[in-house]
Amino acid sequence: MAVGPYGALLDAVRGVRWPARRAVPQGAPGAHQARSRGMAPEFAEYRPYRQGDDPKRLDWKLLARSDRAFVRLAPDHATLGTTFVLDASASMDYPAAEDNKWTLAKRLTVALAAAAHSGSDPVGVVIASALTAQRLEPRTRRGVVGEIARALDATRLSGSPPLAPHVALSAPRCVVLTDCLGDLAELRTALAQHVVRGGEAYLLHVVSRAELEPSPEPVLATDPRDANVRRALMSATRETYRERFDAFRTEVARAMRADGVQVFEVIDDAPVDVLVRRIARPAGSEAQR
Amino acid sequence: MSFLAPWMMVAGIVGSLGVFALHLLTTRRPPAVMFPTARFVPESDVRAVARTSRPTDVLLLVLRALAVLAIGAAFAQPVPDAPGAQVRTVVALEWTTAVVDIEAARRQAKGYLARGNALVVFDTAARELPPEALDTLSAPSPLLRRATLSPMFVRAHDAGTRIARGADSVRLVILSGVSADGLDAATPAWRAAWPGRVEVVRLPVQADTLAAPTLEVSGVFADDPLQPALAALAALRSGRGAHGVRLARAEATAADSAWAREVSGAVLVLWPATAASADVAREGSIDPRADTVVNAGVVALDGGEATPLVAPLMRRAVPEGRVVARWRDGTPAVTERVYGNGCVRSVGVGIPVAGDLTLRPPFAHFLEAMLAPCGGARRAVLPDSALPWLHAEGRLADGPMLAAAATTSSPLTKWLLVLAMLLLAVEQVVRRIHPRKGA
Repeated sequence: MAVGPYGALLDAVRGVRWPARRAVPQGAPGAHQARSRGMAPEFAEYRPYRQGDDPKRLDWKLLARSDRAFVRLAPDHATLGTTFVLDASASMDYPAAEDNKWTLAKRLTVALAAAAHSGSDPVGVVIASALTAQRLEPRTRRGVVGEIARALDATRLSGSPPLAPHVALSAPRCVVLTDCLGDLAELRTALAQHVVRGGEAYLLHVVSRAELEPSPEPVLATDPRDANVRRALMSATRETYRERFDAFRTEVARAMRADGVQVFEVIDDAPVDVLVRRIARPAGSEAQR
Repeated sequence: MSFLAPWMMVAGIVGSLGVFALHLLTTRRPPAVMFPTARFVPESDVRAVARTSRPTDVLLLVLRALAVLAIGAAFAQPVPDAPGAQVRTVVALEWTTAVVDIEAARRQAKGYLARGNALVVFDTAARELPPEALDTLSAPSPLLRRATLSPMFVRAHDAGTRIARGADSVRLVILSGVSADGLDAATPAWRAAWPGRVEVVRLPVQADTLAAPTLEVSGVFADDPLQPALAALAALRSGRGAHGVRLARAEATAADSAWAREVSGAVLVLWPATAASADVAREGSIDPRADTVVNAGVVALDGGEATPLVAPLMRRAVPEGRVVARWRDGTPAVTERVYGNGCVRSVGVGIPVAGDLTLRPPFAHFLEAMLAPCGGARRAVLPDSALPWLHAEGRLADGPMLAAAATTSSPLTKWLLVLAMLLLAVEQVVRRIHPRKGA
């Protein structure tokens, strides 16, 4: 698998599994506990025989002892398809340095895809760019992580593309990596609907350290999504900016969690492997954020 | 060079430093950078104040700083220092007929005068003369016997403030006899206004006694209203005075004129008694239809020392000379002119025949003044012990403080303001040529 600059990162997250947070729909055999019962060797429970059941699944010994027909059921396991929806808008290309929000989003996507793929889950990606939305359908074949990495590296960031339409078409586990500066209301609705449909929704809110602690030098801040928004960021306005930005992030997390979305705020100077372990932690074993 | 308002010069320097400091602060638009969360920045003025380490527009800076300095210097009113020693002297010389040896007084004053000093000559008035004029001061001769200190102090203060520029101290030397009538209510206040000690050099003067003069009266008619007053005056005063007086109630004779010219200190008083004589001034009448001029006259002695006469007095023209008394409207009522060794005093006040005017105290004072020696009476010379406040011990007047009290304006002020205007005009031109630099 050619993963280019992600080799060290993949080594760091090797062995990390990303279990589903709840039982997954029946599907191809996989690592996640399915909602259905199957024919696995492990015994789970009996169920009275119903017409149409395969006679092979009857417990003949029990039938002989009690003259009652029961079917042996075993827990079933299935795969969980994962789609990463990446916000390739211009605002993700911040700061101009090499390690910016987009870099973090790419590295997180590759690392989480590797973690999911290691459990035989199909992984795919949707790169929402203003130029074109590139879609890689979830697959389980070898090399899919490398394909994802190459697709991400080839992406050019621009504009302010919508994310909500891509959520509706995603796999049961949908992971959105965005800075939440685009179609946030529509995205919230789409993620809530995805949760209602039985899927898992993750929102990785990508934030730059430079956004949290802007430079003390006065600058004319220009929104890359909308060039008409030009504000003087200086000592007189910096504190108000911080208060507003903190309130915005808090409100986004609160609203998304209320809809059943797993929300993680990821900052561009945090180690990615640590973030991956925190995100992939099994349900009930972590305090989010 | 010194300044009338030095704190304005300080303000100008501070202002130019402020200009320099402001040059290091520039108001400009900060650099535009992409900032994804710009929407959370509150709306505000996009200009920001930035600080630079070195001024960028040196020419503009120099022009502005010089303009502010020029304005400050203009309001500080620079004046060139007067030439002379560090301790300068104002010499106030009494110039009256009462001074026994006027030449000695002149030489004494000359001894005090040097380059940069000031000379004030005074009798009842004071005037400043250039020190070089002391050599020619003998002409004209002194006219008055009285010398008052208040006008002298006023003029000496002006002269002191003028010569105080560039001097450490200013000394005031008064060469005077200092008689009692030389002081008035304002004298202590004016003395206190001089910010230092005063050196008083007492000159020997002739002090007049209050005794009645040797009086000869001619031309008195039968009902002359002046008679009771003269009699009362003679009854009050006894002895012989130092000067002789002839009172002519008719036209003066050649003998009277010769007497006045020959006898030292002789006073010839021409006080015609004919009320309806032809030279009565008709224009002074308050009733143009009246044949005779009967004024509700008020005559006051020049200087206002005595109660004015208020009576239906008749006005008579008098020749020019030193004014002894005036009518209410300022017209001279009594004049005196030097005549040989004596003087002739012309009285243009007609006394009404009826009434008791001549028996009232104001008229007695008036009559005394008419019979006074040439130049007016001079009262007793005061001893030094009576004048401790006049020449109190202490420091000389502080030169800079005295100079600061001057109310003169600097001749350079307008030129400095013009210079400032020119600099600001050039600054406008330079700023238009380099608009970005001037922003």
